[in-house]
Amino acid sequence: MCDRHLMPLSMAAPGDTVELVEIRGGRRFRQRLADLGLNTGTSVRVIQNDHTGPLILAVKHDARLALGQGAAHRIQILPIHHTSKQDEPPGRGIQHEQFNHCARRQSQCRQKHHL
Amino acid sequence: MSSLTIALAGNPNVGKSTIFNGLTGARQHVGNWPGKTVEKKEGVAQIRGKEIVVVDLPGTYSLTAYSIEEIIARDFIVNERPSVVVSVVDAANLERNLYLVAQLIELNVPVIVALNMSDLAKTRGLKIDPAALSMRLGGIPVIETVGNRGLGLTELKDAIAQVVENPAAAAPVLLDYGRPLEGKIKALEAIITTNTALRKKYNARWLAVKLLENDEGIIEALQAAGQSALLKEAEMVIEELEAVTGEDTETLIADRRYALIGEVIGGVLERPRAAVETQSDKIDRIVTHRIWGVPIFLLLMWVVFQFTANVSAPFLDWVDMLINETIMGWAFSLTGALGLGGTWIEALLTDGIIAGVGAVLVFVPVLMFLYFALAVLEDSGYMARAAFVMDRVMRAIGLHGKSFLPMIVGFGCTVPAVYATRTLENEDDRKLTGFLATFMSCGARLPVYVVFGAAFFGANAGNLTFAMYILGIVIALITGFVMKRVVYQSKPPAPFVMELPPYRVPTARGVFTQMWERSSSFLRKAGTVILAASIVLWLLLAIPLGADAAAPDGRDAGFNNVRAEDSVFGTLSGAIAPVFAPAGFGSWEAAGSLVTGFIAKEVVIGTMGQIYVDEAEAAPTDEAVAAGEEVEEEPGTTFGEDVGNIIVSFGEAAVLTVQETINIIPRTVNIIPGVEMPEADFLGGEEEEDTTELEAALTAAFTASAGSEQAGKLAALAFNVFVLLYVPCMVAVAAMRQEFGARWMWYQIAYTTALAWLAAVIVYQGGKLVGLG
Repeated sequence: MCDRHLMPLSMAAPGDTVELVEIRGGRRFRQRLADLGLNTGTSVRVIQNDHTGPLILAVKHDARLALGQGAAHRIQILPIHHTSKQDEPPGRGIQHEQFNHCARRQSQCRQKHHL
Repeated sequence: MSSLTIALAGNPNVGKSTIFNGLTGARQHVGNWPGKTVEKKEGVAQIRGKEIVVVDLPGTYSLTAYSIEEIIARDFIVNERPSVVVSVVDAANLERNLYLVAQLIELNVPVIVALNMSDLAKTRGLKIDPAALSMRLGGIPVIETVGNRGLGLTELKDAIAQVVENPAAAAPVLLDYGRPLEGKIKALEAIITTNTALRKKYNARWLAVKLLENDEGIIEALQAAGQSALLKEAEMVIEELEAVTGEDTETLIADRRYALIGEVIGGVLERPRAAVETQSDKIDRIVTHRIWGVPIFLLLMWVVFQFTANVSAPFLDWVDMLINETIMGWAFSLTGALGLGGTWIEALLTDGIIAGVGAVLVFVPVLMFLYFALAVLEDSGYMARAAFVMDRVMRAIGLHGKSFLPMIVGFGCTVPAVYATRTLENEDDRKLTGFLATFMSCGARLPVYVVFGAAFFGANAGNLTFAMYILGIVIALITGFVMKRVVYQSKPPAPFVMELPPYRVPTARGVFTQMWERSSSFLRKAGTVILAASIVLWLLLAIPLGADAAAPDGRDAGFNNVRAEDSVFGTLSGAIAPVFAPAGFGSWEAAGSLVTGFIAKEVVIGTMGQIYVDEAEAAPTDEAVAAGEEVEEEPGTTFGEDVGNIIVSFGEAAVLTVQETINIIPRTVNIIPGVEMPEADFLGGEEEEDTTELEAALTAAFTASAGSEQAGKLAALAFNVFVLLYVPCMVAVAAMRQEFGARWMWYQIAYTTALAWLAAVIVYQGGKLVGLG
């Protein structure tokens, strides 16, 4: 992967599989997330994230969770890998997709530093 | 009652109720958990000749103390010690579901795992080895089931019977938390075991783990029991652990549980190599889409709305006929046959009880259709998506998506809307949502707009109705916006996290069961609260007040023989009427009908019908809660004809219902300008509601009290605004008290009444100022 910097889950892109490293917030919030399968050390796949509405995550492989942007912003993640949409045939497109994805993420990171 | 009890536990949306129905059949009892508003389902299962009580615990993700449901579930297991806990698990979501199983095992009760929906797991390419899972969990029975098709129930019953006979057969294996947690758990466990009082009540190991989890419920209970030494010890242990690991102990425990589950799953579950996009994921790509999500949501809501308002109408008319004509006729015949005709007993029965309770029962079909539609949306899995889609909109007023569902329900009826707030976790959000849901114009307010629209606004009648719905929404948004900032200014918005269950085709049984359970609770209310209120109101109308009170024929008044305006009710209405003068409708009739409207808002029209139209004939039947239709008093039909008529008209209603269901399509298409699609008409021409007499009387009365025709229109508009906004009906108020407490109920009554009055005055006086009156 291009960079292994911590970033908030709210910035992950659809198709990303990421590891949850740190969850910031009160005990209640963290316990609630853990009950639903979002505990530190677990990896989740981002199914949908349009950066305005809630995210859809594949949690513990088979569960689907909706998570608000606010909550997602409080979760620090490490990207593990990215896969393109499942219905596209694997092969040719992937490298290209990954490259674009990394470039996009780096520009997002830079934007964040400026802020 | 048998002394054997088993409990069903599981996550929400795992088909727990299908297993419950499968085990108990029709022998169920639905009530509430003592002192709680959470529903408790209990049933009896016949297992190998034994009667076993089955208790359906609330659906939870965990057994922490963070929600009422979780506390109920775990208190039941800790205090009642059921013989077996059947943990219903979604086989297609095994890993996350095992988190609850792990916590059940820790409670040290015999556990059986029901691997439900195993068919869905197979279609997703998940291969589960139940024998291996059982072995990894220490030998507890694991049974594959498909609850909605009744598969695996015999095996499940056999397993229950075996464990009941020999609890050791499901003795759970203990989770090993590893270093450094395990040593500390053991240390706390040792202290607890030396304490006789604690050892009796709790499983020592479970209590030790709960202490390390900082469990609020346990800490409170131990404080109350004077166990501060143990709590001190636990605090020290937690500090030590957090210093060593740099993590808090809850996180350590949760992470370790999931790690253990990961190990269990390893040799038990085989997945397809690549992550699979499931059928549900594909549907979600469209349904939760940033652009398509909202239109799809609006379309579905439109269909639900049509279904509730129009498709139910034929049955509403049928129930109306059944109660106000047939049953009313029978009541007159009965009292006549007993020689009670014309007495106060007859009046109480017909004008008080049948008319009063009947006015409310008429709306049962509307509620049944609403609950049917909502059950379909819920069982299909769409409800969670609706909350998802509306999250963006609701954020604007500081609530999250889940708050939108009760508001949708509020368009049908405020009462279920108040109960629907239970899906919200945050108590403040729950109260605010319930508060706002009352401004969604419910079905009972619709008749008022319809009658006034026809009387005052002619061709623009539809606009009045539409304006009222929009006004309700706008007021709700403004109220929410202001309250979130003024009342809850310091509170951060609750984080939005929600499971999206997989889409499923709803089963007829599931939908009808839900519809019936919810409707019957409404019927119970009609039989109690509304019955009592109807009798009281009838009494108030029957008792004369004041020395110069007159009977309808002008002579001195007596009990059940008094002009409406001279009754206790009429006199009191007259006393409060001046309050409404600034809004243009300061007559005792208008004030009185608003007061009776508190019973149910459609009663406003019933009352006006009685007071205005019957003023001339003014029989002592000036009963406020009558449905506004003249009763056929002559026994013109025989009992046999009546029954035949009921059946025939029921058939007609059924045909019309089908017709109206089909007509949703042309009505929807016709919204598009320039498109004209004809609607189906099976029985040829619809009945016209005959309200012209009332309309004429209304126009005359409002014009007279306001001074001119234009002012009368303004007063009518102000009256409708008041009906929209003022206190919802008494059943809704009772529901608010039950859910949110008496104080909140009074806030609500005060706010809605003040707001309604203010808005009505602004409409009337404002209208006059700009020269409309």
